[in-house]
Amino acid sequence: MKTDDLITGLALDLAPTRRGQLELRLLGFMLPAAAMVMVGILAGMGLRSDLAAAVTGPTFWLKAAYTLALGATGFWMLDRLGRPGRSARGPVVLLGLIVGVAMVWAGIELARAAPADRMGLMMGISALVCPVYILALFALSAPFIFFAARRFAPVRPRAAGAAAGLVSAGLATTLYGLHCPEYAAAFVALWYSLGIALSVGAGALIGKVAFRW
Amino acid sequence: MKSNVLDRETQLKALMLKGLDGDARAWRVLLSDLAAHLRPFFKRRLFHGESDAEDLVQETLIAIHGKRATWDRGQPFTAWAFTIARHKLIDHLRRQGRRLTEPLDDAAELIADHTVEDGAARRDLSRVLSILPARQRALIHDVKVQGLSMAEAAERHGYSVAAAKVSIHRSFKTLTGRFADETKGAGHEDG
Repeated sequence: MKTDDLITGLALDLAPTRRGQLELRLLGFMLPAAAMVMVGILAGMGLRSDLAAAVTGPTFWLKAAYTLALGATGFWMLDRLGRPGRSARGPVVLLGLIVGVAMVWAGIELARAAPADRMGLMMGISALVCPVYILALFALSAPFIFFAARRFAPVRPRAAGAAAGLVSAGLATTLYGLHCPEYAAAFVALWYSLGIALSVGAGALIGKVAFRW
Repeated sequence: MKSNVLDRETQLKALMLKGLDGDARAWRVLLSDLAAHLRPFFKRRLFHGESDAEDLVQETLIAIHGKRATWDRGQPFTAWAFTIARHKLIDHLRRQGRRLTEPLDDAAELIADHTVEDGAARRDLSRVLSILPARQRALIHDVKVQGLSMAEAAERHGYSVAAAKVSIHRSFKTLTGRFADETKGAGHEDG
């Protein structure tokens, strides 16, 4: 085909573009993703039995704030990596700060606890299943997020996949708080972060395939 | 010179904004103008110039059309467009299975505006060249790294010009055979 004909053809097929349409699409797809995660929690794990009391205290919301902040940072990172020529430095720095704050918080908590209690704070009652559950819920939210994100144009598909993984995992883990009764900052900083990190790694692998264009 | 570049950026950006609003005429002008700039961009970077370059021009135009929503209105337009072009070029080279026909110059040019440290690249280069016999290595070094002409280098190492050409060709073949497998696994993050 001649390039001039191609150009004519493309110009004939030119729908107007709205500002922010990619972000809106991604936000829109977070609704079915959240619904799938909720189905997974209700069907496979159940809500925490003390949920009604938990939502009146601070730890429930602090956990949610941590995972939501991670998800939002992933969203910003994906929005940057998905646009050719834009830098992701801002969201990467923010991600480091958020994780840093969580780690310092956990460190202070452990330092102030009696030595005999420290292991219990870190391990809680669900240490090893927690990352597995998070990864399972990530698998439910990720298809929607990655599908929505295919409209972007990442020149680094693996990095963009990691960012999309962070979005998916942030969303899934926030809802996981409805099931998980753990309250210690040390537990969250360790096991939530591990589950999310595994999801980010999985996202990078998915991105390599899903973000070809 | 500098102001020309700025003019072009302003001009293309104005066309892009119109195109995003659905102005088909502006979009045609923009794509044609881009095609004219992309053609030499690809030809300079491809050894088997013409037809591959035209394919890449078309692929890039299609990507620019399809992904136009990923341009951020606050961002330089040319940077966006040529990042896409470079992405398509790298993709193309990878698909080709990296026939390293004229490899060292072009590869260096491709990554020059990225973050490869000169020293590191030089170290890699000497590691790569070290698998060649000494005389071949000296010759290829003088021609491809030092930038001597074929005749100068041939004389310096006691080759005829024809023999020097053959030797360089052989060296590339050896290098390609030895490193093509390794580079196949190399990922996207250097692009």
